[in-house]
Amino acid sequence: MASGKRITRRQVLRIAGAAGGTAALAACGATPTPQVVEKVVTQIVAATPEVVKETVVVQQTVEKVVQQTVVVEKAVTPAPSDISGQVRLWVFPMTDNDQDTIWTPLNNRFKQAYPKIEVSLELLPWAGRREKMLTAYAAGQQPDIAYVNTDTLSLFGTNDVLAPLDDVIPSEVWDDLQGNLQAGLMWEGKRLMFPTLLIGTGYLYNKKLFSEIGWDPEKPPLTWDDIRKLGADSKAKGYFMTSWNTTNWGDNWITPLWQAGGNVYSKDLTKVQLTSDAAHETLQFMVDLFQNGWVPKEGAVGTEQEASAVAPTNYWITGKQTLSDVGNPNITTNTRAQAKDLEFGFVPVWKNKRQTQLGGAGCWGMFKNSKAPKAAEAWLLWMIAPEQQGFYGSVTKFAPPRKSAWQYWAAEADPKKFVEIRLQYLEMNQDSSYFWQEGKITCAPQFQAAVLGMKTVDQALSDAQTDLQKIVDDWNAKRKKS
Amino acid sequence: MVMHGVSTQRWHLAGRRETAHRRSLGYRLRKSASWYLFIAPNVLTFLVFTLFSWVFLIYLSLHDWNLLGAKQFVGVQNYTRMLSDKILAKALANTFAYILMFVVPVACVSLGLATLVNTRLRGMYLFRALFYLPVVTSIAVIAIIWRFILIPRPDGILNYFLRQVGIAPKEWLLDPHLAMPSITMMQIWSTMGYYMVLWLAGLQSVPEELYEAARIDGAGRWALFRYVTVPMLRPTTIFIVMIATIGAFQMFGPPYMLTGGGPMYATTTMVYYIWQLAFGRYLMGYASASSIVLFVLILIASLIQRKYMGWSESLF
Repeated sequence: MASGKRITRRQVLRIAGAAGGTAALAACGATPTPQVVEKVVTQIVAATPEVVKETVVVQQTVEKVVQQTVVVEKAVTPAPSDISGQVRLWVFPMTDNDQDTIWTPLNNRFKQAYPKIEVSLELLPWAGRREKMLTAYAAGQQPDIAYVNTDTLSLFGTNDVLAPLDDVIPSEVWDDLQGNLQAGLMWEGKRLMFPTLLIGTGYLYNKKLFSEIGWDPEKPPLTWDDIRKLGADSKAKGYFMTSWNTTNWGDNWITPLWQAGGNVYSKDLTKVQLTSDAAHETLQFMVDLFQNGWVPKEGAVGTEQEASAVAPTNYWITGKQTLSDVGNPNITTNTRAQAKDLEFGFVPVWKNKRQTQLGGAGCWGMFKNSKAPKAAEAWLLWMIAPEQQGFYGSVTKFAPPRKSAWQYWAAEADPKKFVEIRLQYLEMNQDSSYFWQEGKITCAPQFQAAVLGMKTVDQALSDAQTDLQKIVDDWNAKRKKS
Repeated sequence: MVMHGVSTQRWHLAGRRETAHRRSLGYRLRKSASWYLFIAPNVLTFLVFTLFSWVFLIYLSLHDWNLLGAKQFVGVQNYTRMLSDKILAKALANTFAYILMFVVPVACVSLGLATLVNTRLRGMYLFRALFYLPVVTSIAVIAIIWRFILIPRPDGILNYFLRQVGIAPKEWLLDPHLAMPSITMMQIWSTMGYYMVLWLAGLQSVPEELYEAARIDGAGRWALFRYVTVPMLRPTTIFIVMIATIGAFQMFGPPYMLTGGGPMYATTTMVYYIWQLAFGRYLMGYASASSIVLFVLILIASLIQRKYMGWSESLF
């Protein structure tokens, strides 16, 4: 809760004064475009960093941070924009109650800045999101803006569905993005999505169990050799090391493959590279995890999302697993909530030939045939402003992708640390944005065959290579034709 | 007489005109307009959700389409492609294996249950409700329960009970030979309540006089069941076998929730594969062609059942 320290009247006056002055200046000029509005806000924040920083630190709860931000914004928001229209927005739940915790406050603030734009929000369940999105588009019922993941980039890109955002979003905003993310947003040289949250998954470790199995509780594993040793030591004491799933294409295949020095696809998207030494080493690693009993067997089958939804036992929470399941930053808060006595530490990004990790981003995509493109642009620009990104991240616990939004990110210390220790290692490339579903569906059965001992590692990889290469060849042939 | 003859002729003429008028389309439409109004919702629903969908499905099966781009006419390419699709063949084999393992056992188990709950004992309504409960339970909840039961280690629930009778633990959903039987077991458990209700309705419609007459003739309990109950349940049997077969052809939830079609396609059914084609690989045309093949298979199975089980309209 709040630390007890309150914002002083003097501080409020300083914020209001600075903001009011700028608002007066802004009002003297022409009606600013949304981009200009955003810059004004940013400049004020930059001009009074100590004030803003203080308000965020003092007010620990997200709601209060919002209130503080509103104080600043109210003062600096210029005359209401003339842009009008209805923006249909599709979003997916990030918390138990997104409507009240995220969208009602954001919508109220947006309404103040753009009273003539009406935002029609549809909060859809995650289950079947791809089906809903695609069928809605096929029926001409797509939204103007939707939350999209980068795994759909190639599908949307191939079919020219999303509007390029290069000209909509100023270059300095693109430059403000964290880390090595931009490659994963590009389709044929155009950026089709803008990130709203960073996805960088990872592991925690159970300090008590580490002591019990003879490990230093302050020294988490780093290399693949450490992981193998930890697996053996955990098993020897009757614990699992972590959990693994053959259909978790990102965390349990792409990340370790990159760490082993490989890639799924060649840069030019013509070759599948599953028969490489790196792929062999990665699948052998997966096979060792299962066949040595270092991870629960049940992860060998079942689709990643559905299987985790119906997982019979959470071995991490029940103290039977030395490392957590791979998770998002909110695994820290969930662990604190569900297992109060579990003392955990943070596992760094694993290292083999490279120390790297698949990064991802939940993004906003703007559909090309929007009925109100100007209003949609206005909403998008408003939403990706640092204050909104910071607020969104504060509630969802996901890190904001813009560097300048971090000062507004009022997440607890644990999720923040979770992200900070892996931020520099997050990467995106062709593997993270192309043929994601196809790769997962095609390779998972072969991975299963290997971990269940029905095929050798080489056989499984060779079969996966053949099947996936055919899909890639078909795709390239169609593209050439079109 | 003459006058009467003329008047009769006129009357006949008027009658013919009246008949012709009555036969005219406009008259009939006006006369039956209110009836059309009554059936309009159903007709509209049929046109939009069945007929149009069907026509569109056939149209799509002749095209290459990923839902977002332009449709490309490919003729019967989607159909010929099936001939060399090994996963489709596997999905088809799995579906037939599931039908064989599911239909007769679920019919027998649910009949047994219905016979048990058809007795007039105190609290029987509660048992009926309990047996029916899985039918109204979400597949996600059922999947959680069964994932627990089927944990592939010695401490799993089912393995624990097997060990008590000296049977070695099994890797239920991980073993390609046991994965589909495991799913079938779950499906029988979760749907038997529905079939039980159907059997119960059939059992309760057997006239009591038939049992009385048989008893007078000296029939025992087995003879009553064999020679009175079973023949009288023939319409119910045919109905249950048909809908269980059609349902089995369309099985989707358990592989979606429990196995993802694995291990190694061992639980990939036709419908699950069609869904994967459509929304995992975005091959809407190929998925449509596969759906049509599935429909034809269901139709053939229903016609065979109709022929060999003596199904006719009069049974219902």
